[in-house]
Amino acid sequence: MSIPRFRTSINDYLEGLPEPVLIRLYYSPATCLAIFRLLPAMAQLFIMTMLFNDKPLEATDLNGWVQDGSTPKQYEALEKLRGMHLIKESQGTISLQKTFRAGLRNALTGGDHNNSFGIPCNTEDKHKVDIKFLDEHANNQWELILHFMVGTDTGKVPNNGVLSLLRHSGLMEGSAPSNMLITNAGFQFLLQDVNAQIWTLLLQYLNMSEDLQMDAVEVLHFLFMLGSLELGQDYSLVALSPTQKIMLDDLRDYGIVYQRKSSSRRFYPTRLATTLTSDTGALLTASASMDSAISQKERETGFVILETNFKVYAYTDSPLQIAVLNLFVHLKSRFVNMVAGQISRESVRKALSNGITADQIITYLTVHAHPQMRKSIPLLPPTVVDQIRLWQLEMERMKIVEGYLYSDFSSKNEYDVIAGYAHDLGVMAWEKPNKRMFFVTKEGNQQIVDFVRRKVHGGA
Amino acid sequence: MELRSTAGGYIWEDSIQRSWDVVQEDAGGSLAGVVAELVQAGKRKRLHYDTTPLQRGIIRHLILVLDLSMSMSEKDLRPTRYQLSISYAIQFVTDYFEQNPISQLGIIGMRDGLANLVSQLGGNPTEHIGALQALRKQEPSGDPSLQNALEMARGALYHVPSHGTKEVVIIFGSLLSCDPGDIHKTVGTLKAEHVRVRIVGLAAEVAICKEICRRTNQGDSTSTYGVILNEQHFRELLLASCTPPASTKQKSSASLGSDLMRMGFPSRIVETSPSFCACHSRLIKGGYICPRCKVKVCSLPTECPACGLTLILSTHLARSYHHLMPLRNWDEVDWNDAKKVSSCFSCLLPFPTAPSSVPRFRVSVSGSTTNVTATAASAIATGGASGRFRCPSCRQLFCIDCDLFAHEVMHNCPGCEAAAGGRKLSNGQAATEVSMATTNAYLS
Amino acid sequence: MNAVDGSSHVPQVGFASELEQELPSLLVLILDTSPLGWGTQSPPISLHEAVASLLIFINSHLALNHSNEAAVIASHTNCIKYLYPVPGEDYSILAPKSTVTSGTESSEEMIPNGQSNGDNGTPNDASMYRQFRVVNESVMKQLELLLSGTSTSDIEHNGKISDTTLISGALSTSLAYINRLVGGVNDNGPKLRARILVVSVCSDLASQYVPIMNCIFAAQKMKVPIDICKIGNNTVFLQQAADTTGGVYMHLEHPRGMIQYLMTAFLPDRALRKHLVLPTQSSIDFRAACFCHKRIVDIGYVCNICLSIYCQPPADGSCAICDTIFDPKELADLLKKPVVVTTTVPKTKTKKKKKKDSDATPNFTPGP
Repeated sequence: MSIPRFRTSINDYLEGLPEPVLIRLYYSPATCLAIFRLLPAMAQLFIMTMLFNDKPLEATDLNGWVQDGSTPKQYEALEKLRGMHLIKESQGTISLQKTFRAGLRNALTGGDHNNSFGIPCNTEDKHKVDIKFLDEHANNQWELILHFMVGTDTGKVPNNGVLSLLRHSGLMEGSAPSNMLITNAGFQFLLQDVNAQIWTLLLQYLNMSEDLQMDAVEVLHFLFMLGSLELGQDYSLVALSPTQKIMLDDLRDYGIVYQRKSSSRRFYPTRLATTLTSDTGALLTASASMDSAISQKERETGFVILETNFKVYAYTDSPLQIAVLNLFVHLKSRFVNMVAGQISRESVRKALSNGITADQIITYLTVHAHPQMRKSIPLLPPTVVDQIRLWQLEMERMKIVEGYLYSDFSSKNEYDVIAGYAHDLGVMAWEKPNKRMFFVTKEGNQQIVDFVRRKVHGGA
Repeated sequence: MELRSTAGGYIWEDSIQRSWDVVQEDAGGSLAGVVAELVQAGKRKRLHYDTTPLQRGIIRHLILVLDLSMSMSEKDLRPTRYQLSISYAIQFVTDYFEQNPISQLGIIGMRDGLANLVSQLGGNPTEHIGALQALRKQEPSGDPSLQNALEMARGALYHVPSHGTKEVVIIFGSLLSCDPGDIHKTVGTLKAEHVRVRIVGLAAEVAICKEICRRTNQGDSTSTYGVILNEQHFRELLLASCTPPASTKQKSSASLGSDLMRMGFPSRIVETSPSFCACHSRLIKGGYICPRCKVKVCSLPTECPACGLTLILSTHLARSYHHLMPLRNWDEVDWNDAKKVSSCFSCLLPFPTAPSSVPRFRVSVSGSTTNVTATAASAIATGGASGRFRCPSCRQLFCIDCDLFAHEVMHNCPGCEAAAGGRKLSNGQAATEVSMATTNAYLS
Repeated sequence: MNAVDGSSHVPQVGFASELEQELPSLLVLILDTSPLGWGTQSPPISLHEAVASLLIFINSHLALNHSNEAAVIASHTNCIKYLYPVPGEDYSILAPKSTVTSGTESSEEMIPNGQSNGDNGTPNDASMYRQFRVVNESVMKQLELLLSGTSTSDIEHNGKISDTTLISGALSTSLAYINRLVGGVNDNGPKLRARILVVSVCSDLASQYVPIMNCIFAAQKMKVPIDICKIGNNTVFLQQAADTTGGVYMHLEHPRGMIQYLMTAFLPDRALRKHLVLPTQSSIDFRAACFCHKRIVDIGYVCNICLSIYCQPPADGSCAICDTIFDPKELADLLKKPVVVTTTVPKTKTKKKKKKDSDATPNFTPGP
C-alpha cells in the first residue's frame, strides 16, 4: 500500500534521532523523566537498577534476573534502550549513558537548579481561569480542527498555522480553506484516540519545525516540559527561549495551552498538554479522563452497539462521530439521537482502500462500544470481527517483510542454535529446517549477525 | 419466611407501600441528596452485626445437600434453579473454606428418590468445586428424598470427633419428599447425634422442612429455615451458613470432649536438592519441618508421621480468630459532635461539612426486599447522618466505607491498633487481656 | 496453604484482565519510626539516611507511570501518622501565591502545634517535578513534626524505653486507605493496583499477633502484596505476611546500600514481577504467638473449640477466650507430662524441648 505510514508514536521519532541530538536532549531532567516514562516497564526497571549503581551491570546477571519465559521481553527492553542510546555496552557489561544518568538522577532527587519543570507565576492572575474552563477551551479548539477535517459546517475555520500543518502532514489537500479535502491519511488519523492524534500532529509539527530552522531539541524540551506541568496552574514565560515562545503561539491554536492574549506573560497548560507524556500504556486512565473531558456528552465513552448481523446502532448526534462511522459503515437511517447502519463488504472495502486497517476499525468499535455491550465477553461479536479481518485479507494476498535470508549452514547443530536464537528474539519471519534456511526481519538482523560472529569467534 | 407484617396481619393484607412515596425532594427540588441518603442507609443496614463474643464451633463438618429433582428445572431463577444453585454452591464452597480453613465439607445430591454422593467429606475446595462443575452437565430428574439424603449425611458425619460440629445444609427446590420410611424417626436420630440441619427453600415453605430445622436446632426454626425471595436473598441465606454456628449450652460442658490439643507450627524450608518426605516417601524440594522431631512433611495440615504431633499452619488457625473476637459496632455520630474532625481517620476521606441547618429532607426506608432496620432509618430521619462513625474504644471517627471494610473484611479497628500498645484495645483483645490478668493472678 | 485461599477463585473478567498490565499502581509505604529500633542498629543507618533513600524510591515509583500514586504512613511507638497525604491539605492547588493559607479545622486537631498549611518550600522551585516535590516536602515536614513532638514520656513504658511500633495499626490504616482508593474487594474493574511496603526495624510484637494476622488475610483477599524491607532482626509475622500475600521479604544485610535494594527488589510492580526472578525467602518461620503470655511458640496447645493458642495448659483448666472447661483428665495428662506418642521420642517437658530444638541441627532426610 502506498499510504505513508505515520511515525505515530514519539518513541519511533526519538529512536530515529541521531545520537548527538539525543544526548543534547538528555541534558534536561524533565526530558529525561518524560523519556523514561515512555519506556516499557522492563526497560524502566533496568534503568533503575543501574541508576544508583556505580558499577556496570553484567549482562549475564540480567539473564538470571528475568524469568525464563520472559526472555523476549528482556530483549525488547534492551533493544529499546539501545535504540534510544540510553545504554552503553562493552565486554558483556551494560552501563547507563552518562548524561541521561545524571539527568534522571537530578529529576528524582531534585539535585540542581535547572528550571526544566516550568516556572509557576509568582503573581496573582487577575483573569484567573479554572480547570473547567481549560477543559472546555481545549475541547473547543481540538474539535474545531476535527470538524474542519470531516468538513462539518461550523462556520469557523482554524488558524493558518493549523491549516498549513494539516496540509504539510498530508492529512488534508488543497490550497485554500474552502477547497481543502481530507486525505486517506486523514481518515486514518480520525480513527485514532485523542492522545495519539495529538502526538501525530505534534510529530508533524516537529518535522515541520526542522524545515523552519527551529531547533528540534528545544521543541522537544518544551513539549516534554508541558507534559510535566500541573493542570490549573499558570506558568511564566520568563525562562522560555525565543523558539519556545513561537511554539507557544502554535500550541495555543491546537488547544494544548491557553493564553488569554498573545502578549500575556503567563500561560496555562490544558489537559491535552498535561496528559502528553503519560505513555500509551498509562493511557487507560489518562485517556479515560481525556475522553470524558473531550466529550462531555459521551461520558461513558461508548455509544456504538454492534450486532452479530452486522447492524450498527450508534447513539450519538455528534456530526464528527457520525462522519467517522460513515467511513466504514453503510449508514441507513438517522434519528434525533441515533444513527443506524450496516457493516457490509463494500463499506469495509471502501474504508480499507482509504488506508484504514481492519485493526483500526475493530479498535474503534471496541473503544466506543456502548456500556450495554461491555457486559458481553468477548466485547464485539466474533463473527463480525473475523469477517472484517477476512475482508482485509482479501485485499492483502501478499505480505512483504524486509529482511535477510540465512542459508548454507554447515551443520544441523549450527542451524538449530542460530535459529533458536532468532526465535528467542522474536525476529524469525520464516524458516525451513529441512533445507536449513531461515529468514529474519531487517530489525533483528544485526543481532543475529553479532550472535553468529560471537559463535564463530567463540568456536574458533 | 416471616409472613407477619408489623401491623400483625399477613403482609398481603397491608396497604400497598409505594417505594417512590418515601422519597421526597429536598428544598432545592433535587433528589440527589435523598438518593445519597438511601445509598448510605442501604450500607448502614449491613452494619448491625452481632458482636457478642459467642462460643462457636470452629472445627466444622458440613454436608451440603443439593436438590437435583425435576422441580429444579423451573426457570423462576435465572437461568434455571438448577444452574443457579450450582453457581451459588460453588461460591459457598469457596467462602466456607476461606472462613473455616480447617473444616471439612461433603456434598450429596437428591434425585430420582435417591441420595447420591457428589463428593466425599474432605478439606480440599478444588475437589468439591470440580464435582459441582461436573454436575452442571447433568439434567435434574425425578423426585427428591429428604430422608435418604439425611440418612446418608448422618452416615457421613457419624465418625466425626465430638469436638467438631455436625451440620447439614440443604438447598430444597421441591414441595414434596419421596421417602422410603418414617422421616420423623430419622430426625430423631439426627437430634440424638447433634446433627444440625439448615434448609434454604426455593419455592414455598414446607411443613416437614420447618419441622426438621426446629427439632435439630433446639426449637429454633426461624434462623435456620428460610425461603428465598429472589436471587440476592438466596445468596444471602446460603452464605449465612459459612459463619461458624454458635455452640449450644450442652456442648460447652467438659464431658463432651472439650480439650486442649497439642499442635506444632512447622517452618517451611527451601532446599536446593530434593529429599524424601516422611509422609509419602516422595522426592520433593522443600517442605515443612516438624518442630519436635525435625522430620520433613510435604503438606499441611497433617499429623507428623514420626512423632504423631498434629502439624498445622498457624495462618490456618488465625483465619478464624475474628469470629472469636468480633469488632465492636461503631456508633453513628450526630452533627453536634461531628464538627471537630473533617476527615476519616483511616482513609482520609473528607467528611461532609455540617449543614447550616438541620437537613430538611426526611427519608424512611421500607418495603424493599431487604428491610432496612428501623434504627438506621431513624438515625437518618433525625438528621444524624454526619457520615461519621466512632469506635467506642478509641474514639476515632471513620467514614462509612471504612466502617464496612473494618467490620466485614479486616476485623481490626485502625484507631485502636494505632493507639499505644495495651492502653486501648478493641473489645476482643480487651477480653483476652482481662481473662489473662485473672489467669496470671491465679498462677501467682 | 493457598489452596484454601478463596480470593484466587474469583473469575477474571475478560476485558479487565486483558488490560491488567497497564493499570497504574498505588504504593503505600509504612515506615517504622520507633526511636529505639533505629537507635540500636548495629550496622548503622540513621533514620534520615533511610528516609533519603526512601524518598528517592517513592520518586522512582511515581516516575514509572504518570498515574502512579503513593502514600506514606509512619508507624511510631505511640501513634501512627500519615506523612503523605496529610488530611485537610489540598495538593491540587499549587504553590500559594500569597501568604493566606487557610488552615482547616482538621489539621489543627490532628497536629497540635497548629502548623501552617501550604508548602513553604520555595515556590519557584522548578528543578523538581511537582509531584515529587509535594510528596518529599510533606514527608520531611510531617516526620519532623512527629519526631519533635515525641517526648520521653511517650516512648517510655513502665520505666523502660518501649520498643513497640504500631505496625498493625499502620497496616490496618493503609488497607483502609487502599480500600477507598482501589474501590472495594468485589469491584471488577479496579482503577489502581495497590501494594504495601513495610520498612521495619523492630522485632516481633506478639501482642499484635491477631490484628496483624487479620490484616494479612484482608490484604490477601484484596490481592494486595505486602513487601517487607527488614533492617535488623528478622520478624516472624512479617515473614508470614509477605509469604501469604505474595510479597517480597528482604532482610537488608548492608542497610547502607538500601537504595539499591529498593530499586531492584521492591520497585517492580505486580505486572512486572511475573517476569522477574525475585529474591525468595529461603525458609519461612510459621510460628505463632500464644494468647496467654504473648510468647512466640512452635509447639502450642490449642483449644479445640475456639482454636486459641496457649504456650502451656491454662492453670484454671478453662479456655480464657471461650470459657470452655477442659476435660480435667486430659488436662491433667498434659499438665503432668506430655502425652507419649511414640516410643522413639524422649519424654521431655515443653520448655526443655524448645531449648533443645533451637540448637539441634535440622535433619530431615529419613533413612530409607
